[in-house]
Formats: sequence, C-alpha cells, structure tokens
Amino acid sequence: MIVGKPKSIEDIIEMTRPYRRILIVGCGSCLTVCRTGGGREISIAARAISLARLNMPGAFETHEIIVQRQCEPELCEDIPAMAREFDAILSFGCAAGMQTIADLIRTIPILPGIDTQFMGRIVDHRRYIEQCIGCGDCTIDQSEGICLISRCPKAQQNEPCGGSDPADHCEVNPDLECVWVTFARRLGERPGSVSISKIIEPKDWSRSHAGGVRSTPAEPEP
Amino acid sequence: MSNREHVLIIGGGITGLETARELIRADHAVTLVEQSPQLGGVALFLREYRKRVEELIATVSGFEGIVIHTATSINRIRGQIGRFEVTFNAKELTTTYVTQIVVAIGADVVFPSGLYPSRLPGMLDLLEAHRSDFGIRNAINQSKRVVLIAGYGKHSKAFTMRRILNVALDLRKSSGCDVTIIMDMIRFDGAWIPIEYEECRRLGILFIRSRVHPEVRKADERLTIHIEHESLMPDASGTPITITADHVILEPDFQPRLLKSVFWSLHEPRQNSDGFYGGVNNHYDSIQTNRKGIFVLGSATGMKSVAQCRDDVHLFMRQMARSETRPSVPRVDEDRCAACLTCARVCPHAAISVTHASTIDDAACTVCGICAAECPAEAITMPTEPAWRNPCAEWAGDCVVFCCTGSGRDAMQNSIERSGLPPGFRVFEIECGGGMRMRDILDLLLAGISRIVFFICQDGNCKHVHGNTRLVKRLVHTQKLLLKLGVASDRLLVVRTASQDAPALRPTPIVNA
Repeated sequence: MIVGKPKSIEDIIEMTRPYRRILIVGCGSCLTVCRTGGGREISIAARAISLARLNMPGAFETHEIIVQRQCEPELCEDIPAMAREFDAILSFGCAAGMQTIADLIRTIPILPGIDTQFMGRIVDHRRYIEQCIGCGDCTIDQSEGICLISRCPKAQQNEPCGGSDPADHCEVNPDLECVWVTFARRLGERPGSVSISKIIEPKDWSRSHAGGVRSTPAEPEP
Repeated sequence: MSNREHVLIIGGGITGLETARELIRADHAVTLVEQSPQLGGVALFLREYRKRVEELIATVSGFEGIVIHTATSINRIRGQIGRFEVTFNAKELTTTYVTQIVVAIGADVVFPSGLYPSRLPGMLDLLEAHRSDFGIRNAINQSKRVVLIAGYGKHSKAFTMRRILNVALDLRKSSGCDVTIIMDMIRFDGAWIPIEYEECRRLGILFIRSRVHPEVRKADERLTIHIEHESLMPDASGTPITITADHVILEPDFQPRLLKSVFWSLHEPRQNSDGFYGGVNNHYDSIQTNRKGIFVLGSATGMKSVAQCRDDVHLFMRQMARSETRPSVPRVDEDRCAACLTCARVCPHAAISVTHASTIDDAACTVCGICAAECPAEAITMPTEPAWRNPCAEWAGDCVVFCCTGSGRDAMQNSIERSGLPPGFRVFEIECGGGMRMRDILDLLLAGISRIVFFICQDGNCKHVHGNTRLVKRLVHTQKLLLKLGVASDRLLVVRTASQDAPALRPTPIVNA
C-alpha cells in the first residue's frame, strides 16, 4: 500500500490562496486506508480552508469528490467536466494519482494535498512502516522474508552494522527493532531456514529507479 | 430487529409464569424452562396464592406461542442480545436460539440453620407453617401455644413482618391457641403493617422484644424457649424468661440460587452483598443486568413479595417495549468502504467484522457512532440524521451544547433544573461524544456558532469504553488546527461530568489530553 502524509494546513492554505473555486479530489484506495486522502480527511481539509478564508475578501467555494482509484484514468473520467467550474484542483491522491489527473486536465493547476511517502504496511492503528523501496530485485527469500534494503536504514545486506543499542533498537530510528535482530530470531523458527552466513550477492541497482524510469514491457506477456 | 422477540424464561415460578403470560399477550414467542417437574414454584404451596398460580399455569399452558420444558436444566448460554444460543437438558440435549433472556429463578428458602443448628421436632419455618398441605396445619391447629421467632436473619424485610403477623392472626383465629411473637425489633416499613399489628394486639397476641436470639430446647414432649427479656424498666432488664410451646415457627432465610454456573461463559451478573443478582449498581435498572438482553426478575434480585415480583414483570414489559423501538444500526455503503478495518478496530463493542466490506452486527451495536466518526472513507451513515447537522443562520452566535446519554444528559437536566437554561444555549443529545465527527464540529464553527460545549462522562466512566477520550483527542486536534487557521480555539469546550452533578453552565476550558 502507498502511504502518504498530509501537507500542513498552512502550506495548503498558502497554495490555494490565489484560487476562489477549488475542487478537492480524494482517493478511495491506499490513501483512504492510511487516513490521509479519504472522504473524512478531504471534508476536514475543505472546512479548514473555508474557515481560514472566512476573513479574506471575495467569495470562496470548495467541492469534494472521491475517486475509487485516482491512478486509473477511466475512474477519473468525470473530473475534466467538473473541473470547468473550478479554478484549481487540490488532489489528495498519491503522486501517481495526481499525475493521472494532471494528464487529463490541462486547463487548471493541480495542487498536491499530501506528500507521498513510501510503500508499506500497517503496524498499529494509524501507524505504518516502510516495507519496500521498489529496488526491482527482490531477495527476501534469502533473508527469511525480511527486506533488508528497506527495513535497514543502512541497507546492510550481509551483516548488521553493530550500532544497535543494548535493547536491540536501531541507532538511526530508536523506535524500531534492528531488522538484523528480527532476522536472527527468525532463523531458528523454521526447519531448513536459510543460513545467516550465506552471502547475498551485490544487487543490480540498474533495475531500481537508478536505472531510469521503469515501466512494464510495451507488449506484456499474455 | 423485528418486533417479535423470542424470549427464554428460566424459572417457572409465579414471576416466570406472569412474564410468559404478558409476553404472549404482547405477541412474542416464549420458551419456558423449569428445573422441577411441576410449574408453580414456591407460590404454589402458599395458601393465599395457590389458586391464582394454578389458574396461571392453566392459562399459560393453553397458549400456542409457548414451549414449556419442565424437569429441565440449562447447560450453557452463549451469544448476545438478539442471538443467544441456549443449550438445555430436556429429554435430550437441545439447542435453541432466543433474542432475550429472563432469569426468574427465585431464591431458595432455607431453614435458619445458622441460629438453630439442630432442627428439633416441632420447629418449623414460616413457609412450612403457611403451606396448604403436608398435614402440618393440623398439627399446629392442635397445639396450645405457638411461638414465632423472627427478625434475626439478615434478609428480614417488611414483607416478612407482614407474613409473620398474618400467620399469627391466622393461628389465633383458626385454632384459638396462644401465640407469642419474639423479635429483635418491630419494624414497620409499610403503612399496612400497623393495621395488622393493632389486630394482633387486640386478639391478645403477645409481643416480646429480645436483642439476642432466643434459645430453644427440647423438654419432655414440648419445646422450651429461653429469652433474655428486654424490659422497659431498667432494673428488670435482662431478666430471663422461659416459655413452653408446642410449636416454634422460625422466620426462614433466603439464599439466591446459583446462577453463575449457567452464565459463567456469558457474563458475571452483578451481585449484592447478600448474593442476590442485579440492583446493585444504580446505573442499571434492578431488572437489568450488565449484559444487554438479560433481565433478572423476581426473588432472584432479593427477597420479594408476590406483588413486588409482579411489579418487576411490568417493569420488564416496559423495557421490552423500549428495546423494540431502539434505532436500527448504522448503514455501510459498500461502494465507498475500503475495508480498511478502522471501524472494526475502534468499535468498543466488537460489533463490526470486515470481509470485503464492513458488516455491523445489529445485536451487539449500541449506535454510539464511533465507527462513523472514525471511518476514513465516510462509508458509514448513522440511522438518523441529527437535527444539529444542518445549522441554520439563526444559530449564529449561539452556544451549542452536546450531552452524551451516559452522564451529560442527566447532568445537563440537573443544571437546567437548578439555574435554568441561559439564553442562546442550544442543547442536543448525542449517544456518545466519541460519535461526533470532526467535520461536524468545523461545520458548526463555519455556521458562526460561538461556542461548542460537550458534556461528557468522566475518564473511565464512558459506557462505550473510550468514546469520551476519543472525543477529547479529536477536540485537541481540532483546537491545534484552529490555532493554525487563526480561529479562536476557546470556542471548543469540554465538561467532564457525572449523572448526579449539576455543573454551572459556564464551562471550563478543555483539558489537554
């Protein structure tokens, strides 16, 4: 799931200041689940902007709409017609969703309502953690189902850095357990688990974002 | 929930039978389970009620909508209001599903063995003396002197007093024997007792007051009673008196029947210090337990007269009528639901399960609104649209007060009774503060409401577990937002209160959570 973080209300107010009529578009998928771009959050944002604009001169108007998945052009097909009535679109989708809308609508600006952060999963109610950086070369089979690249701040693939504190917490993010401790604990849990001494070969980073913009093949396999 | 309930009644005594009759008259289905082979319970053996109980059994047995199992014990009860699964041991193990349960198991009558460990011949308890059969009456009628001892048991109440006086009068009138009543103190809790007391005195029934319970011994064929008499004259105080009698009638003790074995898997009913069920916590009606859908009626909640048991039945029927009209559960818009599990995680009553979309269990839901307030997709709508949701222009400048049904409503009523409602206050009732959505608060502020005040339960008192703390967290968050927007943040206020409070309608500032 893609996790986002709402932009601060001051930034949003500043961004929307030049516009009088604003269409606020939420996303009904990942950003709803991580509570940053669903119906609840966009309705609060719309009212917050309205409250801030109460004392400013000129009429002001917002309209809220939720798209099931903003990154799907077919699901956004109602938006261009609606956008004619508005001066700007404030999108609460991820960067992929915002750009989908930007591709569809060239007449008015698209403003980002959230900062897209990472691909992750829930660890607690309203708390998410990164699980993947999209390196393009998955090796979790060699590390007992743990992505060492995304879950270790130093991306240590073959040994721990040794900087964890006595309680085995990461020296970069003390809220988290050192992922190498998690890895070592899992080693004995399953018969036939991988050997910690096995060397993981250097990664081919050309498959990651470092190798340029990635896309699926032009002619995907059937 | 359909209007027709299927009610399980545990206990076929006078309370259970009365309840069954009232329920069937109100067109509900009833399953009645009685432990002993015969319906009627203790009241069947009391002369003044025997006829009425027999008529009641005939009436109830003749109804079509009732299933009666005698000589049956309950094995297990599981589930919740609307869907209790009951397993009982009739001729074979049977499982049935009911929507509500009435516990009318009554209390056991026990000989006051604590005071008189050995039961001498000629010693009876009050109910035995009052019974219509067993030949006891004949034996008593032939005796010359009967002594009644009462008031030393811990469960003694006014209605036992009345029964003692009635038994004494009855004995005096029917057999003409000498009757003496010994008690620790003569108590009149009701207006009807002095009449019977006067009647007793007129017929020459002797009253002796003794703080210490009298000693009863066997002497020849009769019984002797030794009393540390308490005289009005100080010199004569403590002079022992010995009375000889043919029969001694003791006030019986009552003890609650064991309910725990049946309900252990389901819930622990509230018990008072005497071991009776219900009526301990003043937040609950005496007939309602801490579990929705289970009602404890009659003598199971304390020693009660037949009239008091019937009062319980009528109170229960009123509760039933209320439960029928309770609002339906919130609705989930499956197209909007993202199956994010937020509602299932925040529901304090574990009423929500999520597969491809949320499903709300109408039996467990209390319509607190916390799920709707937290749902990030706004896919949950409450069954009723509250009046305050669309504020009109006339409200601008007013103060809107929201009172939760747990404590705030009662506290608000107390405040209004004490000092009246100040002008410009608009009071609304909400099930729980936790169900207040942040967008609704902002909507009210946008409409120009000068102040929004919440009367909510004190910490740890919310019947929706964490509804009050959720509201406070939401308000703190809203206040921070308002500060950033340049809006005065003191427009949001919280008053934590209890039902018996009457807070002044000048609310205190919000406490940072």
